[in-house]
Amino acid sequence: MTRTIFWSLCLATCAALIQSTLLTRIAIFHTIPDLTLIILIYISYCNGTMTGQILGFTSGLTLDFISFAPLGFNAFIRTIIGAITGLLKGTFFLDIFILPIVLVAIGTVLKAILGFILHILFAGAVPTYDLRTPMLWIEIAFNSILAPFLFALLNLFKSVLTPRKEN
Amino acid sequence: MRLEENSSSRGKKNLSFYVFASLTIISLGLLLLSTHSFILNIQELGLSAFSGLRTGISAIGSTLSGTIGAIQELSNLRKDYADLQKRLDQYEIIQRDAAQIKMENVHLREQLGFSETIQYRKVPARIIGKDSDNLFSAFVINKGSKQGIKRNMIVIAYQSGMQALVGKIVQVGYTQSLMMPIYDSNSFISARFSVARYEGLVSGQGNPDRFLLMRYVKKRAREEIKYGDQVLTSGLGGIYPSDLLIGRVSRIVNRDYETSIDVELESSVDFSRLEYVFAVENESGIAKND
Repeated sequence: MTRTIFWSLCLATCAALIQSTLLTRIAIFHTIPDLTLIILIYISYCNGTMTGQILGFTSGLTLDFISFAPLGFNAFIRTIIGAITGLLKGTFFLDIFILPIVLVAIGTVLKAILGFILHILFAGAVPTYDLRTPMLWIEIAFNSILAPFLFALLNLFKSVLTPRKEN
Repeated sequence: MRLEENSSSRGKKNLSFYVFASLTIISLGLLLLSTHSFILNIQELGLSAFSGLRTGISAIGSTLSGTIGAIQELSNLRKDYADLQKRLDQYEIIQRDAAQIKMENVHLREQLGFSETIQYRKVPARIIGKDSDNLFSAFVINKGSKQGIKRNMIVIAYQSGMQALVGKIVQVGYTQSLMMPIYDSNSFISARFSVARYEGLVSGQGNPDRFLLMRYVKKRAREEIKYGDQVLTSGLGGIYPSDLLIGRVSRIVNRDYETSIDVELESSVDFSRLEYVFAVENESGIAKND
């Protein structure tokens, strides 16, 4: 599990850095896809709750370090997303198209809901999605479109990203 | 045998739950502390740690896009060169006139007893990235504490021959810093109209495509404000020095039931074209290294 988390965290960190540098050039309405979330959902679905929540926490903390988000904001949201996705492990057959889209779309919506809860809990100290602007909808679309491709790419590294006995 | 398997499975589930509960509590604790700014330094350490990697990826991206653009640029350069040659001749004439005017200005200043009391220290920087989270609008610049950047330094830019306010430094790493732009929803700037001199508070709407909102402007100012009027920093509040251009009036909202008017501003900076900025610290030492 440690090996899986280590390599997943390396991937998630690279994705976060790519998000803040290269992907800003292809932003639509100043919105970029959340590659780290897609990676988290893939790893959690393949490995289960324990790996999902630990990766969610560590990758969230990494995101908090490199962004203007208050420390703990992404860690909290992604720990829960990782844990919930992990609970679904083995429930459905992981095809190459439909399930990645559904999982990632639901994950993005969950991220928005958890962000809204934090916004309420911390009396507006953390921002939330404004449903009147297209940001959330574009992010859901972006993530859903990228999900099958990224899942297929991550499948190539399955031997590193899943425990040995499951290979 | 089955009993042992059941108890092992239950043990795993319990462990998983305990880990989940611990991680959630830790992240909430961190969030609680960081929203009160207790552990910002840890965050800045983290920013420093990832600085090198981000610079590397940004450099690769710039190199790739630069190479592709260079081919087209080469053909344009030849044409530009000829144009520039002509303009250079014109500028030489202007420069001679400017030198004369400058000399005259110095003499007049001496006569009036003016002196340049405020000196600004400027650190030029390049924008190398944006916040990796869509909810936050911070920009990443390629200068940090190593180059003398401090928290709360203001950031300006030159665009279309004008100097305008871009934002302020909110987080400083060793070689990179995060800058909060004026359109961020957490940005509040004390401002005044350049001609009418009425004051107000300019805040962002969280999106560079949306207007900046100037609030708490006195009702009687309505008669004196015109569309296109410039709005400058007032210098009140201590962070932003006075007379920096923020934007121009694009709409005036006057509601009968309110005691003040709201003015919508168009930012003087086009954030989609922003590449280079200057982090500025004035001599009064407003920027803090806290």
